Amino acid sequence: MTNEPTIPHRDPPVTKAPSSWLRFAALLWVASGVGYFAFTTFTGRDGQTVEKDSVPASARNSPGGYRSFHFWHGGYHGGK
Amino acid sequence: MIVACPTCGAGVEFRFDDSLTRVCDSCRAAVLRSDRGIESLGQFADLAPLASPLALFAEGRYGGVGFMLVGCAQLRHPKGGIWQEWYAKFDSGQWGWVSEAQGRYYVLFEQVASALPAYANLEVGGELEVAGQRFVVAEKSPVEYAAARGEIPFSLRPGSGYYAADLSGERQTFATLDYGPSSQEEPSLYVGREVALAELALRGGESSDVASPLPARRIACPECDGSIDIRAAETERVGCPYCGALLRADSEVIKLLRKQEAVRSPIPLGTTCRFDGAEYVVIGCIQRVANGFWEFTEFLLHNATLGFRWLVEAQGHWSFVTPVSPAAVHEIDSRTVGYGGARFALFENANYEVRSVVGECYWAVKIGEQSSGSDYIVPPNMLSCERDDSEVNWSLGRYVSQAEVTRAFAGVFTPTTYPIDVAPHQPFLHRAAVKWSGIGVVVFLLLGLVRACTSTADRVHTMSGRHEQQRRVTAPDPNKPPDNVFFSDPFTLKGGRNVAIRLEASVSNQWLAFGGDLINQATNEFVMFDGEVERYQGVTDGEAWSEGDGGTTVYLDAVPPGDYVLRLETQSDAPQASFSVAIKQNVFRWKRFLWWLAIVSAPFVLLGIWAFMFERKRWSASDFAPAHWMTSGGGDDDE
Repeated sequence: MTNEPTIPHRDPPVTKAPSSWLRFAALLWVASGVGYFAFTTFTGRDGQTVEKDSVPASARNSPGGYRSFHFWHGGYHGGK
Repeated sequence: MIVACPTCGAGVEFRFDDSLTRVCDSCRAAVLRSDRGIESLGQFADLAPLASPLALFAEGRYGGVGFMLVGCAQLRHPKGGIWQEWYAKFDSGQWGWVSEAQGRYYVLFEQVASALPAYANLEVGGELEVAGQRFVVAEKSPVEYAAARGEIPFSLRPGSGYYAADLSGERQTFATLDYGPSSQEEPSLYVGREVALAELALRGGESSDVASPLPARRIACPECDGSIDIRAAETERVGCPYCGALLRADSEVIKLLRKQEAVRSPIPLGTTCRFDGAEYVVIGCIQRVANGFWEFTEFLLHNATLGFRWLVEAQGHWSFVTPVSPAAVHEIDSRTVGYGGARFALFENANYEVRSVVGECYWAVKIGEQSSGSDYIVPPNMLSCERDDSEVNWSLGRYVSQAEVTRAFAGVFTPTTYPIDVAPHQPFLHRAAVKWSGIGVVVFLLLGLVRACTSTADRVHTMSGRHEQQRRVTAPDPNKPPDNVFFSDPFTLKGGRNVAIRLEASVSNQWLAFGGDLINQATNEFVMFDGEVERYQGVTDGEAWSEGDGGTTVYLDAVPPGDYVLRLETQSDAPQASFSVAIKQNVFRWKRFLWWLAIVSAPFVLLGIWAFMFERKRWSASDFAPAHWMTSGGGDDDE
């Protein structure tokens, strides 16, 4: 006679739905967007890309030199 | 006490003072001892050869008290099917009942109780309270004693029967109400629970002189003489895989019940598979139809220790089905039941009919057998109920993908039918993606709300000027600023805040372009930007139109804190144009926020639409679709 253990029937649990890889992709997308927006907005870095430069030393050393130095913008801008 | 058998004269020993019936080992006569003396109640048939780890005179322990199995009876269900009832004499003097059916074991004790319900008042599937516990009536039917051996604590006449009701309770509790030969009698109550065989710690016992059945036996079909393997000891019916004959296989003699068209099981009988870590053998295949239209196939799986499971295929969708205790399911309302902490919604009521049987079946199935049932869903789960007048059965189906089925059969069997539509309990695999992207959208909106509330739009400086087209008569003086170049008064900018420069000009059907520089007075570093203002308007074909609003805003990143001067150089096609400039900091950019909202919410919107269409398709096949899933061609709310 065998005494092979028999497993008492336990009612099976309710299974949770499996998830796909899309949840990681969605999480990454959303987290990136939220993170980038939050960082730029709260640090004031949400402006447009602009060019930066320095006034050259020669103009810098003369009082009010930036007012007359002729390296400023010139030429045609826009219009119809 | 040893007495002579009234039938054959052989010695019959009563080992216990309170046992009433002893089955003669020689002639199987039921010997009853009473105050009138010794008498024979008739002869029992030989015990059917059922595989069982229990044996007469085996000793064990339950609840810390030792016992011995001193008697055994086999009972027959009206639908076919035999189970064994063992009579255990405990060291405390108490009698216990050890019931054995389909690989499950129950230990019960007689309990005195009052106000027990009458047999006629029992409703299959209904709830009642007995001995202070909640039970569900799982089954009620007459049962018959088919055979017996050993010593029995009550008077047992061969061929007798009684009316009984099986009650299923929570946490594996179990009870039976025995009403005696007449359903009108007051019942006896037996209460206990399901146990694992190992809990009983059985040892010893006689080596059974009942032919020990092999785990699998081979029979010959009486119609075609085909060789058929019987793998489960509980098998009642067999569909011959060669000629389709439906056979009765619950005894040594195989009888033809009905001929049917030979049907092949899509999964070869005898194939092994693995689900939830356990190995099963496919022993039977039943094809049924729901509501006369929806065909589905049920493959009966057998495991010697776990019992029976089902693998169901319908329209290319697969489910692994496990029976559940009726007491584990409780009704919440007419369309909702609760199980395992979840609320299952009613999906459909259906009438089922058996179309064909191939292989083994553990109940006396008939071709054309009809039953009714209900399906409740919480994807990927389906809780199914099948009931008739005498019993109710609940089972939990788990949706399995075709890939999982292939893996379960280790490639021996691969589903070939492509899934059609959406199964009732087919899960939408991207639900988590919808949830998390939705949470992200909410977080983004809250972020925007906080930012909007903390945005102060501080006005830092204003300036104005007038652009004039110059007529040059001399060359420009290189030591003077060019024409139409304007400088603001110094102003202070704070760090960490964006800068918004708003320029408005009085142009009409003209444009004004500007190039600006924000110059840090301390470091002489500057930021360059440019822009254009225009306004055009007119009347064409009697319809007025306009383009541009005469203003524009340039947003700059935060600059280092300090004093700044704004340099502005203008160009225009207007001879004269006045303009004004307003500089602000800490401005909330609504357009940018809305653009990013669209980007961030794209997964939520797209997946949400997909989920909506998926659910709508699911519920389109149901007569009980919630209102928001009803399609124009949906079923009625048929209660």
